[in-house]
Amino acid sequence: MKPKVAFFSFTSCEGCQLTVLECEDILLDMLGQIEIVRFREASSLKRDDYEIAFIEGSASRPDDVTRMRKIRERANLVVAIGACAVSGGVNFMKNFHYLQRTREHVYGAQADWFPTTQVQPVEAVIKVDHSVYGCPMTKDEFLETVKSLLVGRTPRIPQYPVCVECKMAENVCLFHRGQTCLGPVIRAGCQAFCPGLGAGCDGCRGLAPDHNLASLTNVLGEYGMKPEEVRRKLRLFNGYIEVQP
Amino acid sequence: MTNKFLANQEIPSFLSALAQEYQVIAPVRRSEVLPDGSSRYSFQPLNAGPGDATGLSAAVLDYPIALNDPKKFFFPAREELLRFQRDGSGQFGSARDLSETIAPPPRALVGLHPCDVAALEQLDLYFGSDRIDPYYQARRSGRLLLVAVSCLSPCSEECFCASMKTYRVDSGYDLLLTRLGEGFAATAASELGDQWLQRLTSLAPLDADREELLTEVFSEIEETFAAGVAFDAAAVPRNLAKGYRDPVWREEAERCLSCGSCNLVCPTCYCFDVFDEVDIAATEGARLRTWDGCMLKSFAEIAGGENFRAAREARLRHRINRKGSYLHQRYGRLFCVGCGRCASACLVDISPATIFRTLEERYGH
Amino acid sequence: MTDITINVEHIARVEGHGNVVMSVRDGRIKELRLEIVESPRFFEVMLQGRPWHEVPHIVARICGICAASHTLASLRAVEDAFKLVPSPQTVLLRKLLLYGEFLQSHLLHVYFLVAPDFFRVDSVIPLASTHPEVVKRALRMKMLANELCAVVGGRHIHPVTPVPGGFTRLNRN
Repeated sequence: MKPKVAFFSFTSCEGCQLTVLECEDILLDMLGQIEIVRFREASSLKRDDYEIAFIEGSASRPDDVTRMRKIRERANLVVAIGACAVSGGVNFMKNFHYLQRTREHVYGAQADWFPTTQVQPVEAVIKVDHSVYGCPMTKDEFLETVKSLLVGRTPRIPQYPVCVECKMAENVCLFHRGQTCLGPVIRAGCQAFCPGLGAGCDGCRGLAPDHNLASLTNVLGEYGMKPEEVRRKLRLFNGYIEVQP
Repeated sequence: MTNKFLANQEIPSFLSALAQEYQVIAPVRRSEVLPDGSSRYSFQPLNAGPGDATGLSAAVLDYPIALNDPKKFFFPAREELLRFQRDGSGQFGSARDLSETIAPPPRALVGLHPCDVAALEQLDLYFGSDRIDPYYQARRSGRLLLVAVSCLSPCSEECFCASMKTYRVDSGYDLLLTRLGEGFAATAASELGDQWLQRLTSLAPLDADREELLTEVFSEIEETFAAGVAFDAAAVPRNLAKGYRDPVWREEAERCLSCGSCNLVCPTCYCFDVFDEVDIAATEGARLRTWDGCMLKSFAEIAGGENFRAAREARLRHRINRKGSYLHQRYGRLFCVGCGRCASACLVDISPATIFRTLEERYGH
Repeated sequence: MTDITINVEHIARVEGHGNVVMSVRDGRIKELRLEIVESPRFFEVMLQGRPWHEVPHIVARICGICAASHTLASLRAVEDAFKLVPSPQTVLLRKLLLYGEFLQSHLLHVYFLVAPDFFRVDSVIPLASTHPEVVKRALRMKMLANELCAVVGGRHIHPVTPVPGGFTRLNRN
């Protein structure tokens, strides 16, 4: 029996759902192993008998919390896919502004037409069984998660920071190039994608479990970044750590 | 053994001659320019064709140090060990060991520094003595020419080969190139190296003047590096044993980022992780291994979440003790060549040299 | 006489979220509404207080399907603010990235979002069995479009290499 799988989208750019469709070379093989019963971006099928729910995006509308809870009730396993679902992603930056003023700034007199709440990652609303990190999530980690769930083992997701993959790729360290990078405290698994392309890590995969942010903050200080600038840089994808229980 | 002079203008034809029989691997300059105008280098296989950016002309023989040492050509960062698939009954039955299929082309590694040569000898010990690693051996025992280049002075502020006595090595390579003005003295250190020098008939023998010059250069090397000795390497194992509970571990580990960079760039680190990957239909898969590092918290974590070295302090102490004590007990030599790659890669300036020196100050008498 | 009300919540196979509400009386449409129920993001506010070089990375996240377009638009805005004129080579490369995205988006639209309606199926999945060659070709074309974006921009969804003034580097991977 193929497991029944559903994809749900909340506040996000829908890039992680698109990443699923971008598994072109393996998409048909994957469809041979799972039965997709709900995937709004790609299918008009709307069944509720799913066992595994992949959730993209954060909760940020009044009825999002109810929708997420309903998914949790129906699914055996809930997998948060992508930064918005895992930690709020860029959405979370909104929480550092006054909500009503934010609505009025963008929508003026029509502010009330656009109901919005504080942004919450999925884990703040319901229990999450697995997370696929990144903005967008990587194809490889998504497939690793799907494969692991199919054979019943824990997905192999790195706990160590980006530096490991950067050194394996023999990249020239961005710090040595006079630039800054959050790689030393951010969870690897992206194969040091951005540093490999000459762009410092912005931290989309979240803090590595064993990070030493205090020490990196000192290093960044030597590169001219004040501690409040480090915090602001982290807010790009990781504002949630400031309020995380 | 034959000695010859390799004039600068002869270098291209020398490399071309090697390329006739080997895949030539040499340091090339990386495109990134550092703030002080300098560059980094890395060992790369070069195309035999002339001209292009990855061709033989990209080889740089006068360079400070390569990002990673040549270990990656014998023990890649990620490799498949075996492939398996389901048999008729649905069980994962047949597995094919891939060590027998590893057949690297004949390779000439050009531009190794003495510390790289020393590191390779240490890896040979680990992968080839009390346990034989067939994957490493398949690559290491292939047709190989090692061309080392002498270091005339320390390559960085972080390097401590002067203390480790690895700034000059007498064996473990086939040819040694030593800068002599407008060229290199090429000296053979093995039969294979000797054969090559004899075959390179266009190269002039090293005349008496240059022989004399070479002797001078070697004694200058000795003088230069002798001035840079920061600690007594022979006393390292003893000092480490005495300093097991020294506060240095906590002091240094406090700022450690646990990023594993020191492990990953270390030419004598050989730890790896092994895991299986299967295809989406779970009909076939492969067993892989990747470099791992003892400074990473997940390294000593076992099933159930127990971790033998959960604290940074414990991990740092372990790593330095591996280099300077534990493997010394097993192989009778230090497993560190003083290249300083770990210290250069470390953003918070943790260096084995500093720790060795600190312990010597505290326990050396 | 019968009254009919049709309420399609979250229309499937479109990029973004929308509802269709229709009420019919006596065979005539009384009301037909397309409701855009996209979750408001408030990027205009999120950008406040952020450094200029983060702007392209932030606004790319408006939409994963057209991230390159948002990146390129914001690069123009930042460059305008600095009165910076990118080189002709940069402009050409950016256009190449944009065309890669056009290709990718059109292929997604035609094969994944629209085609199932014409064949009266829920999604492209059943078409993979009934028209395998066409679907495989579509996937190959989509992969090509992605690769085009990846060469210039690092990747299609949320490009990395385009920065104000040019590119960080060429993606050689």
